Amino acid sequence: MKTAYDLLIEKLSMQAGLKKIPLNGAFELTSRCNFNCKMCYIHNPSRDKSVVDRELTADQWIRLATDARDAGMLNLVLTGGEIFLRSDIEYIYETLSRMGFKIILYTNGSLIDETKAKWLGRIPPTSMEITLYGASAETYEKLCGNAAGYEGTIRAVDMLLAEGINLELKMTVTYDNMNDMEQIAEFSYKRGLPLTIVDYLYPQMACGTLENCRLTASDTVGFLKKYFDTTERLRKEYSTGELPQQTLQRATRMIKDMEELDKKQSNTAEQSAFTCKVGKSSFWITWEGIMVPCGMMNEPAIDLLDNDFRDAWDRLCDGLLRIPACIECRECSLRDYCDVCPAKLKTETGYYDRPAPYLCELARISREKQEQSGDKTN
Amino acid sequence: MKIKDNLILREIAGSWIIVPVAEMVVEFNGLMNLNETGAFLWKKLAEGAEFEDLVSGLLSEYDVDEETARADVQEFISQLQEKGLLQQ
Repeated sequence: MKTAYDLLIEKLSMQAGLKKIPLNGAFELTSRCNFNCKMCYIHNPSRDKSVVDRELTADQWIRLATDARDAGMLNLVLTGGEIFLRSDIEYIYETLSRMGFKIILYTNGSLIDETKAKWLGRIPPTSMEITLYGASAETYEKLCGNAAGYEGTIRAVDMLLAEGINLELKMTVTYDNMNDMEQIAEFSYKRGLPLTIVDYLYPQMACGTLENCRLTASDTVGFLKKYFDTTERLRKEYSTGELPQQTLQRATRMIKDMEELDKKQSNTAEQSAFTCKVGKSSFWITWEGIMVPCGMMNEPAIDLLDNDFRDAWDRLCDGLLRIPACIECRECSLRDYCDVCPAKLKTETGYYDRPAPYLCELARISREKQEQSGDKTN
Repeated sequence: MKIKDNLILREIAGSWIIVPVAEMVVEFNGLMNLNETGAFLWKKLAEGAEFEDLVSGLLSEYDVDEETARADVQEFISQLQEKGLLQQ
């Protein structure tokens, strides 16, 4: 069930989309990370001075935030890399937190100690999203090259909860951590936290070679079915509380609710190749100060060191209108089962308007599984 | 009657929105949508207006009778109190 807050955000998003107002921004504060995850596209070494020198300064971020606010930004994601690696993160966050935004922090959580948790508890973000990469130090070592990261992250989750911070958990699925899913789901249920499964890896996120970590289409669908079964079991076992129910709804949506998503996409598909908020109300700024549509697209790209924010936003919107839609995808019989977007097509095939075999396979198997499931029910 | 600190009125995409910031997020981690009249009253409150000032403000700004203006102000104040946005 949607809250009044959800509905207000939806209304604002709709209004912003119609008026081309940049309501939703993501600031990629750094490309550095203390983890070295195999599937990650942005994990420069923690102490690389040459990288630090290329990062926007705190005051540059604050100036950009001021310009974005004046243009209508309300929702602001601070992401990395790992944002808590920046030595000036407290100055940046405290300043931004007084400017009139709803701030969401993306982090791996491992650098949050008691002092940081208490500091955040005093001036909390709207929410924090912490990615769990596994359910053991062994998995963290294998996937992220940081065994200690596991304990650090688990401790951080509990410290932040104790401070009353709104938390959400995420799990990015790879072959290295897929078997930890049940433990991760249980961890989130025990704490009443929603869990989002990131089940699609862009090719640029794929461990050097895709086969090393990205699940095949068949394994992805099998994984999601198992996840759905797990959340149903946990819901019965642990709670009837609101947050675990949210997690169940997320899982349900992923497998069974593709039709509704597709209807929404159909309504907007005529004007733009994009069905998301890109080019309508959202943008991303890279750690070097380049405005791009999202973290997975590098064009159009407008350098904010040389361009005014509003001009950059207008150019971004105009540029995105020129990106062609995939007609074959629009007319495909599997469309109800396919979570396709231009960014995925471009990174999968090199073209915005050509179907990607991996996504086609994923959609085909999803349909098969759903039909089998329907047959059993009948 | 005073609005608590760290509440910012913003006009976003044609809507008037109250955004809690910094320490205020501990108490109120949401948003509040105001209509045009609500935004007018909020700005007056932020300037230090009291109940009677708000009523007279409405009477001079809008085409309403005093009874309606009093009822509107009372309802607005009650909503703010309910959400805990006014200082005690």
